[in-house]
This record gives sequence, structure tokens and C-alpha cells, in this order.
Amino acid sequence: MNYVPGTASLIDDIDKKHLVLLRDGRTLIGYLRSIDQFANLVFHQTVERIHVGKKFGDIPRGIFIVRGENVVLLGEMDVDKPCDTILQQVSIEEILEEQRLQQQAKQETEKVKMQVLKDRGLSIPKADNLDEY
Amino acid sequence: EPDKVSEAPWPENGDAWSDVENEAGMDCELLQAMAEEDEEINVYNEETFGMLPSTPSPPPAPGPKPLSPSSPRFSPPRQRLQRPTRVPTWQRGRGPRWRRGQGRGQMFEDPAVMRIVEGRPSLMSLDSAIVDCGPATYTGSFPFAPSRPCPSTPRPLTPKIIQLRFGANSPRPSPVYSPTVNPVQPLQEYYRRLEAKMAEEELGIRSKKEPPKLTTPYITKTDAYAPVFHIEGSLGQVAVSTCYSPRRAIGAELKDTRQQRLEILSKIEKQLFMVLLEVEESERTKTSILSEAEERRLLEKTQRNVEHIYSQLQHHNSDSGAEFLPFLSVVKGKKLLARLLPFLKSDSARNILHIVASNLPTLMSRDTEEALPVLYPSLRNVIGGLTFSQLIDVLKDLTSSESLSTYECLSLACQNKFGLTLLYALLSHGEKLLSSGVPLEPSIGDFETTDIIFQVAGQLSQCSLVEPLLLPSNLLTLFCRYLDKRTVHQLKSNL
Repeated sequence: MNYVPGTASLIDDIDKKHLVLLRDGRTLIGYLRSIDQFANLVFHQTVERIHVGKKFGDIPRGIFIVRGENVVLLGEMDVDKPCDTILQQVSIEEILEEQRLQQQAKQETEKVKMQVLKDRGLSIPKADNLDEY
Repeated sequence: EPDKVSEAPWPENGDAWSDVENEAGMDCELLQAMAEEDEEINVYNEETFGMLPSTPSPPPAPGPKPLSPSSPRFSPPRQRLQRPTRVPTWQRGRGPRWRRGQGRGQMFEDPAVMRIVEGRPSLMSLDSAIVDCGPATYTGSFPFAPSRPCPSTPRPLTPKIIQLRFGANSPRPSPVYSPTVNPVQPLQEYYRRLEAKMAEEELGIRSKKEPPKLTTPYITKTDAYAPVFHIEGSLGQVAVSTCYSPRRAIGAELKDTRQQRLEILSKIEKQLFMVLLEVEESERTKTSILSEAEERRLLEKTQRNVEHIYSQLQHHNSDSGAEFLPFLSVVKGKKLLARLLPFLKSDSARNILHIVASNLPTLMSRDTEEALPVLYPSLRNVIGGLTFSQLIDVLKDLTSSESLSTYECLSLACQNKFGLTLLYALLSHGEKLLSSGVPLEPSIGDFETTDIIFQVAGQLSQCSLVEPLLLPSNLLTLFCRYLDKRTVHQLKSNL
């Protein structure tokens, strides 16, 4: 029951399993245990899930305290829903390797692109770190 | 160091691919150590895999931890043993370099990842063919755990074993298998589906086994209703209330009266006004030519509607005694009543007048929008139909409120446009009756009658009077009957 109608609150999300996306791109899954007015979050039995293509791998992390400003989005996970995704869980090494390959491929294409642009006399500055403004 | 690794020869035993230091690893000592460790692997651990077997095996001395990847405990006992660690084919050339986290693999500096990678059981530890029946050799006479059969005995593949051997964090087969040709993948798929099915089955039971709830004082505070929600933040207290109006959140104790008000308004709008419109409509259609039967029916229907509205207004709440008052306290209610009054029978209409007169102070105080004058024309008509004794009764109502003295009642009335005009209307009618020459009831000679008029007149002469809606012309004549010249003169100047 919402004791303060017209407002939104995370208080009803306490003790439920959540997925949170952070600004650095990490995905965490855990039980939300505590909140405050800045949306700082405390997660319990946290798992960091790395997704590459259709594969994913979990790294158990224990207890996480997330500073509110770093949260992009947060959502409750339905524990009872049968898992019917096409995502395949793989081992940590495999997913990290996949991730490394993905990063590598991305960098390769970026490098080629930059070279092509350079040849044409164009230089587009990269918005590398979005936090620097 | 990296070069050293790439020069390492392909070992005869594919499973033994590991650190350079472990070149001499595969010996009896290793096997025995592995066997000992195997005892510690309690695959039937409740935490990891659910229900225990029928005969619980005693946990070995150090106390086993679950075999889940999240277990940090696996690292310490493993340290005395250089395990053949799984390294996929494509990583063969990199080996320890990868594990030391050079290049892009900074994840492998991550202790959590290291724990999983290094803490995994190897195929050798899980392979029942290799592991010796350790306990049997120690005691000689009978095994340490009589209930457990020899680990070498081929056993049916339970889901738990499947998870260990083929799950996501299971040991990988020897590097000769390329990642693209993974024979265990269908089994992984199978395990996933099986787990999902089991989860569905256990759905009823699982609801009981919810994760342990963390009740902090902060959470238990929310069980109590708080119109303003205070959060103790690091920078101070933060108060949260509704976004409509903070005033409303703070004045939460008035919630009931507001709720009641809304109920009344809803009733007026949804039910009663529709009926009233019907009544007014039927009044208009009366002028058209109708047959006698039709006219009678119409009249009956109108009367029923009128009575319906009247009774609805009279008894809003069965427990509260105040008749009509809740409706008179809202503007819409006043308007409704003003329009209804002409249709009411005389005694019902008089009842309304009595209610208004008796509760005049309350009504005036609640009338923030100054909507009471809307009632005046209809009430004026009602007053016009009163007999003298009825009039006196109404005046008595006006001057005798529950909590206020006559003086207070009258002074309040004088301060209010509606109140004063109503008073004037009553007095005017009284005068009209007196001057009509019609023989009046014996009450005219009563002390009470004169007393009231005297009081009223006296009040009027003393108080400051507001501008009335209507000033009857015959008031002074009335006062002349009862009062002396001086008072009359005073009144005249006041009015």
C-alpha cells in the first residue's frame, strides 16, 4: 500500500530480486536490501552478469553498495517466471573471452573508420568518457 | 615468463595441463590429496542442491561449504594442491599470462573471478574411477561412513551431479576439444530445462522458502501510517508527502470530514440532481395538454421523486443525527434545496426552515463561499405561508442555539447577510400577519412572543448590522407596536 499517494518509492522493492544497470555498463542482479533518498542501493547475494551476444556469465559478488548517481535503471525480477530466454549461460572464462573478442572487434572497426576519415581529411572527436563535460 | 609457457611440452595426460610448477604433479601424493578433498565435497549439501538424502552423512571436520561458484572457501584448501586448471584450447598459448591479468583480461585480477576459476573441481576429483575409497583404507574394519557406497561405484546421474560435471562452472574437458565443438552443450541445455521444470513443480513450496527478510527499524516504521514520510538522510531529514498539497498531508486528521464531503457531493451530483431535473421537467410539461390519467400519473411520479430527494437529504448517515445539515454545508446542496423547496409539501418545507433557523450559526460559519443567500427566495416563500405561532416557533429556533446564548445567536445573525435578511423576513411576515386584522392565535398575548420580538429588536438596535439582501418596509411598524419611541428611533437609524 502506498502511504503517500501520488509519489513513487522504492520501499516496496525491498527484499526483492532486482536487476540494475549502472552507468559504466555493468549489470548487477541481487536482492535489494536497503535504500535512501539518493537512491543509494544495498544489494545482497549480488551477481554481476556479463552479456555478450546470446551468451552470459555470472560473477558472484556478495554485498554491493551502489551510489545512487550511478544507476541508469533498476527493475524487479520475477523469480517465479520460467526461464524461457534464448540466452545461454556459459562459464566465466568463456564470457570474458567473448567480451574481449567483442571489444577487440569493435576497436578494429573503430580504427579502420578513423583511418578512413583521416584519409579524407576529417577527424571526428570521440565522445569517449561521457562523464567529462 | 610468457615464453616459458609456450615452450611447455604437451603432457601425456591431457588433464594435467597446468602451471609450469606442477610439472612433477601427477603422483600418488596428488591422488591421495585429491581423494581426501573429495570427501570434503559434500555434493548432497542442502544449501546447494536442496534436499538431503535419507541418511545424512556426517560432515567432515573442517565443515564443508556449498559447491556453488559463489563459495570463497574453495580457495584455501586448494592451495596446498596445484590443481590442473582448466584452460581452453584457444588460450593454450597464453596460460598463466591470462590468469595474471595482463593485456585486456583485467577481469582476471578480479578476486571474485579468480575464486571461481581456481576453485572449480576438476574432472579428476569428480571422476569416481580415479578416486580411491579413502576411508576404507584408514580404519580397515568398516568404512568411516557406512551409509555411503564406494565413490567408485557407478551411480545414476542425478541433476546435482550433472550440474557439477556439466554445469556452467564445471571443469572443462581436456584442451583437445575446441570451443565450437562442445559435447556437453546439449547436456547443459538439458540441465537448464530440467531445472526450470523442477522450479515450476516446487513453485508451491518455494513460496515458503523466500529469502530471509531483513527487517530494519526503517522498514518496520513503514507499517505505521504516516501522512508525512520522513527519511533520515546523510544530509539531514527529508520529508516526503503527496505532491498535491503538503497542507493536505499535514492535516491528515481532517481526512474523514473531507471524505464525507466528497461522498455528499457525489450523492448530490450523481443521484439527486438528476431526480430534481426530472421533477422540474415534469413541472414544465404540466402546462402542455395531458389527459387526466396522464396528468395524475405525472403528479404521482413527481411527488415520489420529491419525496425521494427529501428523504435522501434527511437521512444521509444512519448514525449521525444531523438531518439535512451535511447537504446544507456545501454550495451544491444549498442550490439543490433551494430548487427543491417549491415542490415540497408545506410541513416538509417548514421542517427545512426550522433546520435552517436552528442551525443558523453553524451554517453561517461553514458558508465560506457565501452561498446561503441562494436559499433566501425559497425560504421567503415558505415564511410567507407560516401562521403566527409557527413564525414564533421559527424565531425561537433562531434565538436558541445549543451552545450559544440568544445574544450570541442574534449578533451572529446580524453580522451575516443571509442571517439578517432571514430575520427581517420573519419579522416582516409577523408584521403582515398582525396588521392583517385576521384574528390570531392566543399566543399573540403571550409573554414569550413579546419577549422574543423585544429581544430581537433590542439586538438590532445595538449591533452593527450588515447590508441585508432585502429590507422589508414594514419592519418599523412592527417595532412600533412593541417598543418605545426611543428604541424605534435608534433602530431606524441603524437599519
